[in-house]
Amino acid sequence: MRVSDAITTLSSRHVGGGKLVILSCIDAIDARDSRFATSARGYAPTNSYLLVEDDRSLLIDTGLRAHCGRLVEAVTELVGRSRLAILHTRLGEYESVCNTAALIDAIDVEVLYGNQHAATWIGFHPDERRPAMPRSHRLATEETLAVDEDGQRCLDVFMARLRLLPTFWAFDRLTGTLFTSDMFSYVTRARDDGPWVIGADDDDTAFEAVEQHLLTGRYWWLSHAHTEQLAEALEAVFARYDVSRIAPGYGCVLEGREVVRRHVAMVASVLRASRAAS
Amino acid sequence: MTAERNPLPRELRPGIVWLGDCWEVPFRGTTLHSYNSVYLVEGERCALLVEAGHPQDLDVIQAQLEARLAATGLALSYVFATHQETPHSAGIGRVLSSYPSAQLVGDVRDYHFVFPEYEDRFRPMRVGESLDLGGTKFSIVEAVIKDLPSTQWGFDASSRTLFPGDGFAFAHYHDAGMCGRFAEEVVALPIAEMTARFAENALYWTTFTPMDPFVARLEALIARCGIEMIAPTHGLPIGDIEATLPAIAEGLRACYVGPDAGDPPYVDNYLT
Repeated sequence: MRVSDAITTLSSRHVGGGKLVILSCIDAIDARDSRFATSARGYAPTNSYLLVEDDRSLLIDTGLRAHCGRLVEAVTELVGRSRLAILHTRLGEYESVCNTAALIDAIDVEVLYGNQHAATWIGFHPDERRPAMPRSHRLATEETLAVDEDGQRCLDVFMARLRLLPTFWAFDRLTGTLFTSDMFSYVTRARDDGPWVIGADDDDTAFEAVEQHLLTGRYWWLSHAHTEQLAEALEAVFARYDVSRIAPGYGCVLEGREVVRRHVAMVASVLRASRAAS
Repeated sequence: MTAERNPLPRELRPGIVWLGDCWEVPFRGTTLHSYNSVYLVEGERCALLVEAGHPQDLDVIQAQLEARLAATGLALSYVFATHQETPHSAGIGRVLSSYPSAQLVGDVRDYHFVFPEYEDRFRPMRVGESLDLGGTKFSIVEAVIKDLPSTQWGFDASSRTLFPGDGFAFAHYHDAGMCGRFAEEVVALPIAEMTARFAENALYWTTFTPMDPFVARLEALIARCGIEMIAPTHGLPIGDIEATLPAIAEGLRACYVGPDAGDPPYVDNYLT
């Protein structure tokens, strides 16, 4: 089935008193999707996140091209006449960059954040004219970004220690949300109606599923690596920040401190188990 | 990088043409150059493009490709991207749009999300499968050094050339006249150090992983396929494998910090 014929829907959920909007584009999982095991089936969201303030909003990742129309329409409506900043967590990967040029065409985008000069990494679709580029801001290994004009709402952005490619994680102090890009991305649903935000009552994730997702997917190298440092670094992030929500680039959002603690423990266990095996 | 200063395209061996442009990378107060190279493999009947280019280079690559195909009269029948990162595959849509009979071959997963309008021209291929270009065969081979697990490498039988994507990646110095050269044509390039720097950033996993088994697999692949030339995406082409491979191996091994060495070296915000 071509993706244009597939069940691709956009689910938007407002949390944190409307200050954070979770924009989830839902697709059926099949063997064409390398993010999940070849045999995996069900449904998975690809997520962008909009941090909303009156005068300025910040979008984390701009999603896949197949979702362009719905996503740009939704962001345009949410942002209104205020300005937009865009943070790309993985500038070299499609989930982060596909719709940036389309958004620049549609909205007053003020700045592009990424690990490189982001303007040179976008606008590659054949029917896309390269728009007038906003300012690019090359992120330091760790820095704090102001979401709003007055700098009252802060987003702590840092190079992830647990990563495959250059990847930034970000922590929104206001909503207690940690944006983890490709990590914690393994929770999918059997049905196309979700839920896409998983709380303690919905969380039936098994350790084996986490392990399989990591070791047979993009974290294949863990089984060859010494990983204690990575496990410690992961735990240090959650000791440093009071995380009440994990927001991955794809896969369901993990909601609540109890769920967060459980998933951090599972991922750390996978890391330590793979070290023992190496 | 201005067009006047770009020494590409360059025909490395008969039927293997190097396309692209240098990519300037700020690094600790200086500027290094790397590549997001694209290679054209020319058979007697048709041509295949290895990699589709970084977004920044697409105009340059398109012009180079059009000129070369016009000069040879060959049809571009295939584009093969080693994996689904934008520096390797962002130009797929442009290529398929410009060459309506061309197919995307290799591990084509995920591209239906990115270039959905061309999905009926995606042709999945597995390791061991080949395409007949006329007078030569292009084969899919195992990717030994990779990031994304969907990565595949390519091999051209006639020229004995390996196309290893992220493997054999190292930057070079622009001011020393190293752009557009074979690795063996530049004398002052510390290939081992440059390989280590690239790996610790773009192949971060190598900082946690003993690399001897991977180096052994590289050597086995080179011997098994009878590889005589290596055409990497980010490094300079390698024409004398015996001379250059030891430095590559040294660089890969140098990244590894060991299980008890504490944090890995400070990793700059460098390369992809």
